[in-house]
Amino acid sequence: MTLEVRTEVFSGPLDLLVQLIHRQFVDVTKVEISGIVGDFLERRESGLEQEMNTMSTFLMLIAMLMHLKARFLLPDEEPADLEEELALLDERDRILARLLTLLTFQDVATVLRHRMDESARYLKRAVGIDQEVGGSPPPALPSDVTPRTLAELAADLTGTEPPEPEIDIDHLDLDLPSVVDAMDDIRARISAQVESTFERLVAHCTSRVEVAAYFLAVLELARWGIVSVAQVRPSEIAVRRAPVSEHPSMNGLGEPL
Amino acid sequence: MNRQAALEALLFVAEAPIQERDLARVLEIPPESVNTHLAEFARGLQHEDRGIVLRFVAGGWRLFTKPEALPYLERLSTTDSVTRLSNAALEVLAVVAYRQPVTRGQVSELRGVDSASAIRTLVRRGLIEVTDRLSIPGNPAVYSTTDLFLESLGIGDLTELPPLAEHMPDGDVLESLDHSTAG
Repeated sequence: MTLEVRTEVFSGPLDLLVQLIHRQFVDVTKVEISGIVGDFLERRESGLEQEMNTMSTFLMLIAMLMHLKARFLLPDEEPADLEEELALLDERDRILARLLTLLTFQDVATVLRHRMDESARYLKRAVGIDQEVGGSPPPALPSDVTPRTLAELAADLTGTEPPEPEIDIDHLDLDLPSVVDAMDDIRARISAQVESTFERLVAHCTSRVEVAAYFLAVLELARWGIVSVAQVRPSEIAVRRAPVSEHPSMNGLGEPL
Repeated sequence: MNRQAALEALLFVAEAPIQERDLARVLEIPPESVNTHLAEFARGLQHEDRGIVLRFVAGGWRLFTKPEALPYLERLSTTDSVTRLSNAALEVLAVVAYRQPVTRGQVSELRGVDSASAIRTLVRRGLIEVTDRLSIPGNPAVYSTTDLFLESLGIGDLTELPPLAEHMPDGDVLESLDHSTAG
């Protein structure tokens, strides 16, 4: 039941008054607590409100009121503390609500455990209908059969070679520059200039991918000993034509890429 | 063969609960007569104090051995009984059962602890499963309970779960909680 109060600044439910003071809509210093308590006690004596819950609620609300008022009257208390307190109360409510939910689930979980234990005493048939009756499923392929095995079997039957397995990259939108072209270009330019830098070699490139192609080309040429590479400074890679004697057997290495 | 006997045969070989409408279709009789036959069969089993019982679980009918027969069955069986679920797993199961469909994050948030391993256990046991994915960043999976869950609880559908409201903590607990969180 609601506790009605009548004061100079506010008339209505007591808990609403406490809320209003919390939110600073009502000046707590203007509220006379002794008057509220006096009224309450008078009504109680007249036998109107003797219920335990009402009494304790009233006590709690009055205590909060006194707490608020005491804090407000103390000189060193900032009004901002009220905000803080309100936030704390909200947080407390939130934690309480979560605890309650959790306790509820923990409690119901024990019921589920009980039901499961009860039900586990009933056993059921774990096997299905006999295959003779129900029709047998198609036999599963042995695990060592791969698509390749099947392709070879098919090739034996049809007399054609199974196609080499290819990785399908059609879904990739690639417009890759050719590393081979880059190698040709570098070789032509190196033989004309003898020495160059990587920066100069890629000066005409417009995209990162092209630069990457040139980088791979330089690495490949260096691997074959056609060029030699030195990094003098962190930002500069010197590329020079290797002496002829160092790459005599290029043919033996096959075609570039 | 009479339909009653055919019905018995169907239930005998069933490896999952059979729905009434499936029985009606297979037996080529109207659903009402299926009900009559089922009731007749169940009554007969009970009346003659047989070792098997007919139960309605997970939306269908299935034959089970009687609980009283369990000690004998255990003596015959060589397989170990399934280990019981941990309290954590059971708690997660309860949350999923009442809050489904629910994400792992929601379960963990409600319990205040990470629930990933409990969820994995429950999925492995076939008690819950991924039923959807949310179209929010990360596409988290949402979990729901399975038919096996209903069957292991011995209930027909989710509405037979005990009402959650009956398990809310009572006034005393509320009060002590209120005190312990105050200040």
